[in-house]
Amino acid sequence: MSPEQLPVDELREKLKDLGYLRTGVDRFVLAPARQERSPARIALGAGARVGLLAGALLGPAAAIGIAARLPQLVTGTRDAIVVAIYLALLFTLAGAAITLATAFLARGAVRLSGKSGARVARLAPAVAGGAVTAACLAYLALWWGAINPGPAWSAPVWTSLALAAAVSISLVIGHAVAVTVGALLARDSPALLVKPSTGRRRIAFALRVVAFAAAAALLVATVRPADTSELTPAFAVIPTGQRVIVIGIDGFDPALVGLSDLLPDPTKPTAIASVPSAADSDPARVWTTIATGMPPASHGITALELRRVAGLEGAVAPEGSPTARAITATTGLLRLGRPAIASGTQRKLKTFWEVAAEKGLSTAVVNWWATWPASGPSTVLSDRALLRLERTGPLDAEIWPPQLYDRLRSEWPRLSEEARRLAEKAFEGIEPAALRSVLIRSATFDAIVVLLAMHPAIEANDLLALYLPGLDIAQHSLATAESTPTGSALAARTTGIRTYYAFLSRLTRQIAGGVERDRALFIVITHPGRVSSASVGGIALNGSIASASSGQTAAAFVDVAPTILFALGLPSAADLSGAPLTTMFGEQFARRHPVRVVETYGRRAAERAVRGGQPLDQEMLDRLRSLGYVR
Amino acid sequence: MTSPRLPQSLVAQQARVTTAIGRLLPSEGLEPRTVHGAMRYTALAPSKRVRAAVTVLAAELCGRANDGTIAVAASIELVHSASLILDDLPSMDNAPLRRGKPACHVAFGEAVAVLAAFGLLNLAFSTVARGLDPVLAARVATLIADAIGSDGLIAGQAEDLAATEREISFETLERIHRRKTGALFSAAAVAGALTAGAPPSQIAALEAYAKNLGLAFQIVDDLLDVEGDPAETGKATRTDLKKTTFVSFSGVDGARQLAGELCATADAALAPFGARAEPLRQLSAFVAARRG
Repeated sequence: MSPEQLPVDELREKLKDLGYLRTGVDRFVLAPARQERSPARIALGAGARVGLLAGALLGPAAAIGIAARLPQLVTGTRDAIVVAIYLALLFTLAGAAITLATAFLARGAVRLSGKSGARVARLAPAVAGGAVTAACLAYLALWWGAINPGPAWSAPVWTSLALAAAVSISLVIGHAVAVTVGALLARDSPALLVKPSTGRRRIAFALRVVAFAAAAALLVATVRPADTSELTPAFAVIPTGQRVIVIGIDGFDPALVGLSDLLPDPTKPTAIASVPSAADSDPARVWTTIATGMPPASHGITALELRRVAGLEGAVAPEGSPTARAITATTGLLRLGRPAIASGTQRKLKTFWEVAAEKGLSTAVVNWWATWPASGPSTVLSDRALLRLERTGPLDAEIWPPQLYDRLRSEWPRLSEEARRLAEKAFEGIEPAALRSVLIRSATFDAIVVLLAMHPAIEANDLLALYLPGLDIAQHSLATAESTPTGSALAARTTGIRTYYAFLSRLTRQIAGGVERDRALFIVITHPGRVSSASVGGIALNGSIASASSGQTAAAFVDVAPTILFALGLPSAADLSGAPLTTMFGEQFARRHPVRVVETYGRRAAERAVRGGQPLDQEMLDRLRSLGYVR
Repeated sequence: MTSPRLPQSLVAQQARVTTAIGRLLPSEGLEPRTVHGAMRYTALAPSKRVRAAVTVLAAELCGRANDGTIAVAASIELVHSASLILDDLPSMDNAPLRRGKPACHVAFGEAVAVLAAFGLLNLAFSTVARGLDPVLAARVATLIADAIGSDGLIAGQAEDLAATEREISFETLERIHRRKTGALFSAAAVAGALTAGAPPSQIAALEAYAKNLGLAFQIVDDLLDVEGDPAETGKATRTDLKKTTFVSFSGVDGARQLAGELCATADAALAPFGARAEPLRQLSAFVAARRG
């Protein structure tokens, strides 16, 4: 008889379906078979191999999921590979443990089944493999759902491909577990060796279809809304003609001086708001909240001190999401955790200077927390810029635009010398010498920040934001220097701190002296810092458009960013936690510029600053440690 | 093209098993002489004894081929000889030539041939029962009985007869081959491993080897029926014209290619054994290239 001839490829596939031409998973799981082995050794060997299989298949898949959930941890391809290796190890161990447990459970069930043991033994491999397949498929489907918010039908091709891959991975691992269980049971009774079965092709196809449908159903059942917001939504800026200068002062204690004593331009109207319950001692968290108008859970900077997993560039906050906490705990246990510093990589939301710059305003920021790595469109002297200028060497995204670095570096000796001179002059006569030294060192920081901010090369025609850490550094150094200071030492310390306030006052007025005062709005933000006894922060608007009669109002730090953007003529974003403090503005300005509201300022772009040059990660960590910011 | 020679390691096994079979078979001088003569005529006819070689080499791979192994290998060959007698009968394939000689029923008559076949079968099982310890004997006897029983070789033969002059599917053809040829190959490998006390993982590896080798052997058989020379094959060719064979589906070139791939897969299944499995690999290479 001559049936229709079939292509060799098709016949080969048919033979594979019938159990020929394959030694694959089964051989991998059971090999090597060089000598007789005990049940425990069979299970251990096979378990280890199934673990390797699970690690190789699930590790990379889970790494993609982690990268999507914790982008701050996985900053590039290298990080992704390292995470994949870590997770592969984890899944190897988990896979081996699950396989071992499943195999011995099945063996126990067979032994306890008495007369029906043979029947149970025949079913056990399939049941065990099916259970592992289902668990693996559920995990992969949920993982896909977690990294791809929004309904599955919005990306049907990718979702179908992902589910098909998940089904294949799950079936392979489930089959490997079934082979292990079968081998262990066959060790007890070789008669149980599985004979070739017919109709496998249909069964396997049906299994795949059912698994695919189950995974799709799970995906639909656990769907979560997608973030469909644009990167830069279209909305108009109605210029107010104001140049806004934001001065952040850390470690401020209103019990010693009033906020009004630090105003850059006392001749202009001033509105002051207090911020109660501001006693958060983590500067990166607080000042990013101020910069974004959103709480830490939303902006992503939950702590200054992070943990980096050995081998990774990215880092996670020990008190972040459950995933981050789990990673911190696990890496801590395995001694794989390293300290790291919060950076802009972890930040998920736009800052007020980024929102303004995206709308074409000329903006700059100097020394604000978590601004490294620096990227446009704002001019950015990041929180590592001072260290880079001090140490020199190739730029590693400390300053944006990069060409600014050459100019500032050439002038660094003059600027630092001037800052030193200003600081020394401010604390002449302060005794003892150790106290004076602490104050001068701290004041030099602040002076250099101001000198850099006012440098002609810094283009900030519409918005300039700078952060002065010196007061907080000085107070922290003094508080930790002596555990029980004498009365005279306390008095000298108080005198020194009061002198520091006077120095700050001169600095802010120096800033005011460098700008056109009639169109300048100074916004001074104070925070109690790390050791101040106060728990109240402050916001002061100082300029011709500020309200002279607003009196003390209560506000929150999340109101700062909307208020700054309001002063610049930008609408307020409805998705921010804070709102513009309109009562702090003069009546005429408020009438001329009613609050406009847009839905959102858009998502922060996923692309990151280009790194290169000589990293300062360790130097920054050492500096912050020496200043008492990290342990 | 001449048929490749059997590897030296296999020649030695062949001789060992043939000697054992010769000792097991009743002398031609014993009554009933015709039946005993027919049994010896078929079982001692020149043969490659591939199945027996699988048994002995599997046992050596898993430890050592002992006297029990040789007894089992001989039994497998006796069973195979019995199946050939029955397969050649006029009521079955009606083949006139086998192992280069007239088929058993041609030489001794149909009735004697049937009796000789049953004699060989009984001798096979009694050899297993006598040659192995009781537990192992029971296990091996069950294995062989399953391979040639009504869910094995008998089922395959029945389905093969029913398929004559009918078009059948590829899956049906595979099932016939698996039952008629593959089952005894697998039993040969597993039984050899069992006599050496092999663990299940080794048995599974050898079973995978035998399964692929068995089908490859049958495909080559189909090929030889189309393009073989009776002088080399030792049996009549073009007897399968009324049947659907593997060549019917794949053509000659496709069949030879897939036979080669099956042998390669059989070799791959032996990877856990390393270089020690070389004799079995030589056997699969011989099967892939054989001309008779």
